Amino acid sequence: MTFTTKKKYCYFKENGITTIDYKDVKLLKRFVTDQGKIIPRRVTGTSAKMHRQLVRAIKQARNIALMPFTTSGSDN
Amino acid sequence: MRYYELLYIVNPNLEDERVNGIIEEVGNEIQKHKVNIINHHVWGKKRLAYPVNNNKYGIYILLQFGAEQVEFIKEFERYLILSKSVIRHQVIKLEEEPKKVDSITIEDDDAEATKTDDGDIPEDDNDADIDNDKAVEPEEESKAEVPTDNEPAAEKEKEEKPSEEEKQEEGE
Repeated sequence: MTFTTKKKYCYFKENGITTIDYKDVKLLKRFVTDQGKIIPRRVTGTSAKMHRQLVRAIKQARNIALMPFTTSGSDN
Repeated sequence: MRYYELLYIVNPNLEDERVNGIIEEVGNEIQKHKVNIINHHVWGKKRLAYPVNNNKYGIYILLQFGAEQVEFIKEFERYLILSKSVIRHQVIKLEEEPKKVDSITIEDDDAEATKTDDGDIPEDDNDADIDNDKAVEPEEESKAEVPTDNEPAAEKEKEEKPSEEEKQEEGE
């Protein structure tokens, strides 16, 4: 019995993105759940280097109310 | 020279003139510290991800600047906190020198959402849809009627059958 898993690729390496801007909410939204939680990189396949940048960008966006900390308990 | 980016949110209930006044004030305040302002633009009125000081919307303003000395930033942030019309701000250090631009162009879902709230364009779209529906309706009606007649009948049968069974059970 063989388990075949789909190979995951880093989204940023595929698209040649080297810096992540915290203002680009449309991009960051790909990497959070509906609840607003950051998706682990074992799921998204993001490279370690870019995931560190991504996490920082998401947290900066949360600070300035561009992204939610959580969607539970809010009307938005 | 180090480069920084300040993004701050201004109370959305203010008039445009007042917002321009605040931009000028912030600009003057930071000019005191011998900084080189590269960009200072209004990003737009956006829906906040969560309410800040009971505000659902906010006017985002972006300021990018270069500075030789950095000590003043704490003082400058204190000025922003004390200013009543600025409801939230964030200073970020940039790795590279930002390019001078005339306006901020970042793709955003919120910008589209605000347009649909205010603009007439979606209403026109709706009208167009209605017209299309009218044009299509006569053809569809004849086909649609047949299944609609059958479905309720089928449902009735289903409803009736169990009731009969129940009666039988009761009789037994």
